[in-house]
Amino acid sequence: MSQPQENANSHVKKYQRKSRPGLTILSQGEPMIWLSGGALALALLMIFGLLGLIVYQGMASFWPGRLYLVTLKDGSVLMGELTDQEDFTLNSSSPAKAEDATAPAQSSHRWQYRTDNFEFKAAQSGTYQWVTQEELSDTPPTMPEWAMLFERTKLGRFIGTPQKFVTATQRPISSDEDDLQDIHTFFANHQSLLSAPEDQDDAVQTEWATTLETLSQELDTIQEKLDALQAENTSSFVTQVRSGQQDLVGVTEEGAVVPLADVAAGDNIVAIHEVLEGPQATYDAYREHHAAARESVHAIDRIAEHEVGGSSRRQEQARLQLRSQELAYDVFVEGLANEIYNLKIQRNAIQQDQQKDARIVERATRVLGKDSAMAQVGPDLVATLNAQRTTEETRIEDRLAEIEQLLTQAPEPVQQAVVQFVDIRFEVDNEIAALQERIGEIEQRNNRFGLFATTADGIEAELKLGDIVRAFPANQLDWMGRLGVYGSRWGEFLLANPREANSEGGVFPAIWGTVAMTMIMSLIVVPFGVLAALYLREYAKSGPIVSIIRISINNLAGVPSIVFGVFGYGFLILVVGAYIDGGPSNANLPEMPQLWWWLTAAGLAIVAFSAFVTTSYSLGSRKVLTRMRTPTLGIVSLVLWILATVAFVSLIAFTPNFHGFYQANLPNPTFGKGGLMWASLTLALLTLPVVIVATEEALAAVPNSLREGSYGCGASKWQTIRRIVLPHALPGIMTGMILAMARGAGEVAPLMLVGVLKLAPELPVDLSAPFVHLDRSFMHLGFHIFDLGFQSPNSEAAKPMVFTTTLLLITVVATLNLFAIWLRARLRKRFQSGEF
Amino acid sequence: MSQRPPGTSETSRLELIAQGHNFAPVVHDAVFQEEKVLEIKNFNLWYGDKQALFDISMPIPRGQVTALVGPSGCGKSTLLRCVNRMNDLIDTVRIQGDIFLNDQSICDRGVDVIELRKRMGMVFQKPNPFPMSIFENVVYPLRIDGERSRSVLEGVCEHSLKGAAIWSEVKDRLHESGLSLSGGQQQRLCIARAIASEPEVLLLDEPCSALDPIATGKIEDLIRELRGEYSILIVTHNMQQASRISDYTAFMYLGRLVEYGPTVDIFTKPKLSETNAYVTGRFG
Repeated sequence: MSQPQENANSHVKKYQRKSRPGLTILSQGEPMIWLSGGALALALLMIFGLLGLIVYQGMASFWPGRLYLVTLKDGSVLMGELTDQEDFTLNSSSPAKAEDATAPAQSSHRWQYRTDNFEFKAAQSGTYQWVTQEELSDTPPTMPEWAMLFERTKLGRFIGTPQKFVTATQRPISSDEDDLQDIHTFFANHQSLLSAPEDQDDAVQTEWATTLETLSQELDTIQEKLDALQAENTSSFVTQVRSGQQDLVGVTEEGAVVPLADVAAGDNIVAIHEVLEGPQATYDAYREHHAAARESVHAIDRIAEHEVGGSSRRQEQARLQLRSQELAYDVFVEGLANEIYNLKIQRNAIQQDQQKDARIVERATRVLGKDSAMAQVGPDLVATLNAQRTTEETRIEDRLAEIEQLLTQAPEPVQQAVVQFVDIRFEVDNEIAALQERIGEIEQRNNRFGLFATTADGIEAELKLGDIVRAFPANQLDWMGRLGVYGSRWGEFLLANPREANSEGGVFPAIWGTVAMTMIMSLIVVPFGVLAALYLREYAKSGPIVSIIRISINNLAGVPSIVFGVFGYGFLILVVGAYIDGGPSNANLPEMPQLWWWLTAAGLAIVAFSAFVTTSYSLGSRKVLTRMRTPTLGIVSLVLWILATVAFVSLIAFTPNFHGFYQANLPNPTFGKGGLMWASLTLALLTLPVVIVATEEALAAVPNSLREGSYGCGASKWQTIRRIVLPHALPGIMTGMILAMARGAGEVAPLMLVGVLKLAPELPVDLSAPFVHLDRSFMHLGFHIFDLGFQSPNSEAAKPMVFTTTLLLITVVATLNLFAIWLRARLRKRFQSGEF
Repeated sequence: MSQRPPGTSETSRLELIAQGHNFAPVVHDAVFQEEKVLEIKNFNLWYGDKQALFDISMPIPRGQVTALVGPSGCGKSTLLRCVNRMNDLIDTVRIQGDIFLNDQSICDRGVDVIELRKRMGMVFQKPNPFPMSIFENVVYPLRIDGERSRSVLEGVCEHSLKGAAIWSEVKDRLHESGLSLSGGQQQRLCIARAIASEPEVLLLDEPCSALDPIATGKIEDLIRELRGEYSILIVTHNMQQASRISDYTAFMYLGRLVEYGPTVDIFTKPKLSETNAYVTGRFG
């Protein structure tokens, strides 16, 4: 059938295939396999090399090493953990080798030890110390059995040998002792205030001289009584504490140490020390008491953090209440309120002094009898002292009355607020005093124990038990013991707060901050990005505008992240945050005149309504589901919407007489500074392109046949999107979310500007209402790495922590991703089985 | 287009159509004697600047199966998709003329497209069950109407699945994914979905072209069963299929209706030799 056609084309020259098809190497493609495979291999090598380095260094940094005692040629010794060793070439131009300048470079070996003991070192010497082969003496480095590593909350690590463990028992001071001491002090101090009688009569003068004489005798009597009482108490205390134990020493008032056996009758011993000598005994005692001591330190921390913090917050709240009343009535009374408080404190102090003096005189009368000189001159002395006080008291009362008078001019609520403010300050003072007493008690219990250790140089140091995080004889540990130390260090790292300028301790607040910020960021960016992508892909008519928007979004992904940080700082914090805090005036925005504002509001109502109407017509209602071709109406509606938006924004931004939500706090900013909300928003903006692009791709991948099927069933566009398109695109959207989370969690630069601190006092999400504190600054693992590595005063010591924190950051990001992937798989499964 | 030398009498009219000449379609009188459910009147359609349908006028009888046949690109599917205004979804489409459903225009601006589509079930060339359970697939039209009553949904599901002759195969696995079915079952599921909302017209766009012969046989049986209950408009490539299942057949060529009449007449004694050539496979 096709024969005639071939004949018709017979004049065209037939194409002859080459006889050696695909014989060259290039055409067979063999080199391309090698090239592409090699590229992949190289990429994998780099990725796994980086990961391997981080994982190895990060995992290794907590492994406890052995401690070496190294003797140098100049006779000095050092003790430390061997951290590194290397071959190096002796620098012939160094001053030490100047005489050998002509000699060829000499290769040598050197070791790096982590010696710590910061407080005993010269200021400029670091945590690490290099020892070259030349410096090394003939004595080889040893591993002393009792070399111990103490990790402390203050002053860093201590490496040394434990020497003794001292347990102190304080002798209880009886109230009689106190009283006698008080009486003695009172009369001895105030004797000079006694004025001789004005009567020049000899008899009177003689009597006065006698009285003075008696008084000084009585002072001696009191002292004797005191001594006797102390001696008596001492002996009963010694008998009680001793109970058969031999190795106890007493500590006298002056601090001298006497063996208990040598305590003579009449000595005043204020404390008895039980001293355990030797490393083993010390270590055992340490292990016995350490946990309790640590626990009580934690208890103190908890009190300081929660209860004292709570009280301070209460006071701050009272101040804010006062401030808001001030703002409401435009008066200033805070100064007066504080003055009332201070005056009342002074008055109370005076009254207490008066009572105390009266009590001492009364007590003296009881001890020495009514006829004693003290009983006679006492009341005069008190009266003299009170005379001075009364003037002071009168001044205070006058001033208080004056202030009262001033306050009556203020409105009623302000007066009430002042009274309440003063009351709360007193209450808070009492609370804090009580808490401090509790803390003092705990500290006293802790201070009973003292651990003494010597450095390699032989310097003795007292280590407070409560300050020691952990201590172990590094050279005695078997691998189980070392594993225990390793685990405990990891536990602390993950769960504790940082210490030592972040270079030691944990990173829990940073983990918490990173996770909280990433979650909130995802909550913002995912709905926002998905809606934007939905409009772009499903509703917008493709054309030049949509293309421009799409290109812009893609470009947004390439903008350096610090630019977003600057935007967050310059706009979100300085304008929006300041506006929230204190209204337009605080954000340096002009205020519209009232009339203009109302006119704009009316205009907005009209414009918004017409925009709504035109949009409805141009998009078409349900009856005209698809395109009624009304391009002019569409443009009109677009313009109207832009107008409405401008009007709306300016209505809000230039509101007259609006003073923000946190005016009382000013000038302290609440939202006008970096915080969780601004950081999350900034990062949401940063990751928005990722979500939009991924969502668009996912939407584009939904087969058109499904959409048609849905329309064919009579579904509207939105029903189709909601029931068919979105579920189908969900895994892709989740992928976008995962990418955004990974990008956001690892970002550092913009965060430095919008709310991350190197040490945040409080967690951004905690158990106190309202649980999520969007205004709080927070810590972040990425910034933590930067801070450790480059901002730390002791960056050398922080180096292992840099790796560990990096490892942790990668783990956190991977965990967040795994969670999202798991969620995606679950959704996909549900969506496949259709039970949604 | 033609593989035969030009000028042969059997295809001359088609040649002339290809050259842009107009011919009045040959419509058998029997068509006009039926009660019509749909009426296409002077219908033209353009994709951008390219005209795809030329002045099509044809009534579709109620309760019968009408087949649209013709070579690829002749506008069968386009015409079918105009009936439930599926072509509105394509930005560049422009139409002229009108289609009437029960004497009511469907191309009018005021027509509620969604209501219209609810009265026309549509089944596509490729089975397109939604990625949900079989049950949800079938009750999808009710779901979008906001029907929540479990008993109503279950009743409709069973009725539709039985109507689509697939009930016995899936009644134990209603909550498995619709995608787990075989191709033929998927297509019958789509038919069940299309009849779930009790439409007046069923539009079938080459429903068997992606199926094997056995599945095709089942679908054909089903179409015969549905005949009478629904008015069916089916696009097909397969002449045998058209002759087996349809009551009326329209032969289209390059956007024009060529001949339209009872299937028996079209296949046995067409008025045009061109039609004869096409249905007997000598052309196209």
